Amino acid sequence: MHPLDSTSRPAGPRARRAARTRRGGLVALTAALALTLAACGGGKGTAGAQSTGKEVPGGTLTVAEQQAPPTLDPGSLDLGFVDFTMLSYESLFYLSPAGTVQPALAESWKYVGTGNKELSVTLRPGVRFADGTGVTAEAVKASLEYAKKAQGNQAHYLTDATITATGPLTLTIRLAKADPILPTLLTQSYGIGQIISPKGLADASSLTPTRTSQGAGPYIYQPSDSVAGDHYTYTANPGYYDRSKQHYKKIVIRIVQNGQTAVNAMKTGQIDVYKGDYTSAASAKAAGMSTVGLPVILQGLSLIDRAGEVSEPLGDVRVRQAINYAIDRDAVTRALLGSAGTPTAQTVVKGGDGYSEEYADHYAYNPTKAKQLLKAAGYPDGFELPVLAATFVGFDTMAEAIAGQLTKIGIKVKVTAVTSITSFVENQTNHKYPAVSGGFTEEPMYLEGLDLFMPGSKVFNGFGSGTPELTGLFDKAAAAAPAERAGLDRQMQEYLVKNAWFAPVAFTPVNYYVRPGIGGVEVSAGAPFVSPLAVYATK
Amino acid sequence: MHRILFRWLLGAVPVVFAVTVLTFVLTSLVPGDPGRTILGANASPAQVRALDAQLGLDHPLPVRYWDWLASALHGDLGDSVTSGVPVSDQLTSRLGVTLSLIGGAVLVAAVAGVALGVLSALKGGLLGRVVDGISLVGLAVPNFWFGLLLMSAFAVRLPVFPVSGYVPLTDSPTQWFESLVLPVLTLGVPATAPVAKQTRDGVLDQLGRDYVRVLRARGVPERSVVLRHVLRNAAAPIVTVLGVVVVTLFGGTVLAETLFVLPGLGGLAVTAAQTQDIPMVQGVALVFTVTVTLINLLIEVVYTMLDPKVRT
Repeated sequence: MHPLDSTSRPAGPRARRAARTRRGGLVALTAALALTLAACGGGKGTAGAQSTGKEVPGGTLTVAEQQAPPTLDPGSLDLGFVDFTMLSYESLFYLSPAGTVQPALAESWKYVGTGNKELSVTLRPGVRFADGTGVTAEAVKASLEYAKKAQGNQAHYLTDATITATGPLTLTIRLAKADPILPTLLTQSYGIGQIISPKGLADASSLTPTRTSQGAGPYIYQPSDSVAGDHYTYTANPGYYDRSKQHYKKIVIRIVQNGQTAVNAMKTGQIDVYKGDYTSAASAKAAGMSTVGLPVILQGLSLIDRAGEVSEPLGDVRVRQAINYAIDRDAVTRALLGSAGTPTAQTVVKGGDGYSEEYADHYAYNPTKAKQLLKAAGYPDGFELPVLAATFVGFDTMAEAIAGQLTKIGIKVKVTAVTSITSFVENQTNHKYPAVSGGFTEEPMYLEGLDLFMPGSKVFNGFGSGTPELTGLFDKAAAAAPAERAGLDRQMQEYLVKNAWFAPVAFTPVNYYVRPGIGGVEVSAGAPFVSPLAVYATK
Repeated sequence: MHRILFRWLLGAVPVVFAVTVLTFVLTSLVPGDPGRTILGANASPAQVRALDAQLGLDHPLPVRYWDWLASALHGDLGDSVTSGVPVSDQLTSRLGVTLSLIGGAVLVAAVAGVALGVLSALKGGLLGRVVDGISLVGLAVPNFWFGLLLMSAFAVRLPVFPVSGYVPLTDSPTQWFESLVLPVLTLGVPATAPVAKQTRDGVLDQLGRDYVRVLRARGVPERSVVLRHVLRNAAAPIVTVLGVVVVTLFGGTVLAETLFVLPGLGGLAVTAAQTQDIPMVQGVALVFTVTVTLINLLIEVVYTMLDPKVRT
């Protein structure tokens, strides 16, 4: 697989203009819109910064991010903030920059039998939490059960799990429903896999930025050297089991909201790695920083009323297909996002799990065909389509752009743009709006099923639509062995495209800007976000 | 003095009370809720409601305000809804940053403003017009742009000061000073304009008075005329302008803090308001209001010292 467009080219003037208005919005997206990490089994190629030098022991690594975490409790923290806890809470598994699952607290693991319903895990012996107590099967069980109960936005991955400690260092996780990627979900990229010590769990409400961390990670969070909302300091854990994974003596994560300040701070060496949005790409490049990032944030229309409950026309697959044919994705992407956008008709990125080469151009722009389909469906003069949008992340701009396209085939789009995440989420689920202009961070098909398109998806499938065919495919894929699963995931994606469940428009990237001399900042379709754990200093 | 204090208290207490009520009501009207902030977008509305109930956010607004007020009167400002950290901890750790910033900016505005004002009043002509020009530009130029300009000139091109960050005074006085120079200038330089203008007008007005002619006729040195007599008589309105400047600076701190990444109260207020963290917003509003009323008291006192007529 080839590395995807890392969008190191400067954004066009229009994109920059559009971007300026949504600086705060992207933050909202990363913070709140289920920033779920993609972790497919297929992604092998990586895109990374030019780290030519050999690794050397590092002093202090300073990473800057745009948004501060509300708490430091891995169990309830939003996915957008896992960086802040992964340093001090060792997870069961480690997701490498190439997207492969590697040992961490778990030394070995395997699915018992077939069907992906029982995972047996053997823990690394002799590992201790920073407080000196041992990492035992009982402790891991307690932490996982806490995460399940804490109701963070990943708790639903564990709702049907029964965890049993089968020995001092062995445990099994039994699931009511198959989950083919459970190990991935228990890596550092997800809060639920970051293990909290029994002492920490005894007073879980104290897992805040003013208290020290309670994990077994390579670093220990230092509240006395941190200011919540400004900077978070982590120092190397002297009792950590593998010194070779401690690339630095100290890691500081700073909160820098202004992109220009971040780039200036990088120029003067105050910041080594900056996790920003594509709007900073041009100035970072001009300052000599390298850019690493994959376009993973999906934007476009979600045609959620697939049974025609409040908008009868949407119940007809031909109408949904017509909408897809009527959108000139290249033109809209160029106009709104410049070179930062990657047009798409699918919900996964090229090379990602489930991506279908065959369906890449399934909805090439064809307004004539769109009109024919509308006519065949009995709407030759079009109809009125209410669309929910939000005033952040440019969802409203995207909705207006799509409206402009659909007018040409007679569909009159009525955009309602709400101003808060709460109201955006509520309105997606209250059966008022048949379509939504929103964003979604792409994931492996199994997770997209849970979060985006299966009937159980709590937010993004607001009408709970489902078909036996799709559910059948999903269940089959969930229980399948890896080799067979790839094909089933692709069939699921093809089903979504053919039946026009969505009208996707483009992907935009999450970018990392990197100072020369820093290595390990790499992403792949299987791990599109950089773990600070992987970053190292070079000569 | 007692009368001033009494009069101040009579005004300040209702103001503080009114501000806390207003902040409480307005913040709760902001769309969004803390449950959603904590749980993220994937949580169902039912989960969010459950968490909100657990946080006590389902009680009626007056009840919640009363609870807050009762604890606040006992010195307990509560815990942040989103992070669980005590509000007073956050306030104390951030108050120093904001006060250093505002104090510095006021110092710059006062010293530079008065100096420029006096100079332009005395020299008149070209310098007067230059001061006027600078004043206009100072008012018109966006602080944000000015800050970025300072940053790229004195932190990037000429790396004299740090681009971002704050070092507490107790850690290193030198680094504390260095970390404050650019943000203080960003806030203070534009604030110089109104002070300079008031000084110039006041000094010009005084210079035309009879007593100045008498002083000069008696051979009092010009420097003494200006500094000891004219400036003192022109000072009262300058102090008033400075008071207004300080109050407007509180709004400006948000910008300087964001741009130079300083952990002050302004940024805290913005984040807290965005996440509907009412106890935190209340705490910041309380600190700001009390500080502003204290500044008003200070102005009254200085006023009395400068102008004997007020004392009677």
